[in-house]
Amino acid sequence: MDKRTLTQIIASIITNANLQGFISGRIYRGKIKSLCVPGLNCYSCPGALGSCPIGSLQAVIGTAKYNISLYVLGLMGIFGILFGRFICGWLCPFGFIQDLLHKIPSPKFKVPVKLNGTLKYFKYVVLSVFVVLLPLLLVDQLGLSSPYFCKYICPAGTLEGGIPLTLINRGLRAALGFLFIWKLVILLIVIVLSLLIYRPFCRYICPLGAFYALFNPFSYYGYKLDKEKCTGCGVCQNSCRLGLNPGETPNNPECIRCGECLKSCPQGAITRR
Amino acid sequence: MYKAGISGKHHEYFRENKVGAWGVKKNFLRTVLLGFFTLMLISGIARGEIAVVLQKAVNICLECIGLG
Repeated sequence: MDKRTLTQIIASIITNANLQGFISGRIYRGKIKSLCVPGLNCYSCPGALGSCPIGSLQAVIGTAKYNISLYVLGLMGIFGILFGRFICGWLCPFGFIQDLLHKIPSPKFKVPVKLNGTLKYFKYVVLSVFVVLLPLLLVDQLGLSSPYFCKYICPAGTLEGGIPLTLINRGLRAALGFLFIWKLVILLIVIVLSLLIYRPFCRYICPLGAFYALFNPFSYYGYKLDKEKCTGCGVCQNSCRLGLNPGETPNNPECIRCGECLKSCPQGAITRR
Repeated sequence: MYKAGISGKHHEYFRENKVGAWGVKKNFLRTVLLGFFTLMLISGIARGEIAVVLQKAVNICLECIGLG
């Protein structure tokens, strides 16, 4: 087992260490749940010990008292400056699930460069519209709003929270309706796409990935390219499952720091900075 | 390769250590941003946002699981 997979397993277990919750059907209610975890992990997952930053951001924006969450944005910003999208590649439980799905033998496809170049911007639309603008503007008479990303898009909530809780809890099962089916369809699409292409949710939909991507070019954790050593052979580009060219932009906003380019470079031209 | 703004003995230092102008700007930018986000975090805690996050997180989020 490689270092990254081991780190992903440990991070996923630590993030969801309330194993008792999967048996009792109850979520963890301790005080440490006020702390946001770095990756996308639904706080309604029975195992979750911390809060999802995207869910928390919408929760605070959706109150009548606050229009923006300084606490959540501050924490996300610190994570972003320190690690960038290293979090996506190494620490995010939903990213790990997609990695596992992609390991299942099935036909694998590379997204055409042009299509990939266009679709990657969709996650920024999701971040700005569903996570910030709708909860901020679409409020009821009391000034409250729904977490629109969690409600209509997030497949992590369905997989980590919805499915385990409704399987265990009869009361919740009785309340299932159209919204659950809608979210289940999104989850199934993400699962099928994850079998065929690498990390579709992280690349095109994830608002947390979009936020961290803004910091990737200058985060403390990053890659550096030794131009004197680089021969331009293109091995790193061929090894990149996200379709990037680390030989040109080692700190591309889309890079999740999986480290394949570091391993594959015959000259050792790409290193951690 | 090494742009204006880094000159004299600093130029030599940066050339030896392979740090370009963008490297200097990058260090400055992330230090400033780290300080900025730390201040945001502290301000958020001070105005009581933690209670809102906790309140949301300790109750099952019906929207998140597809029931709300």
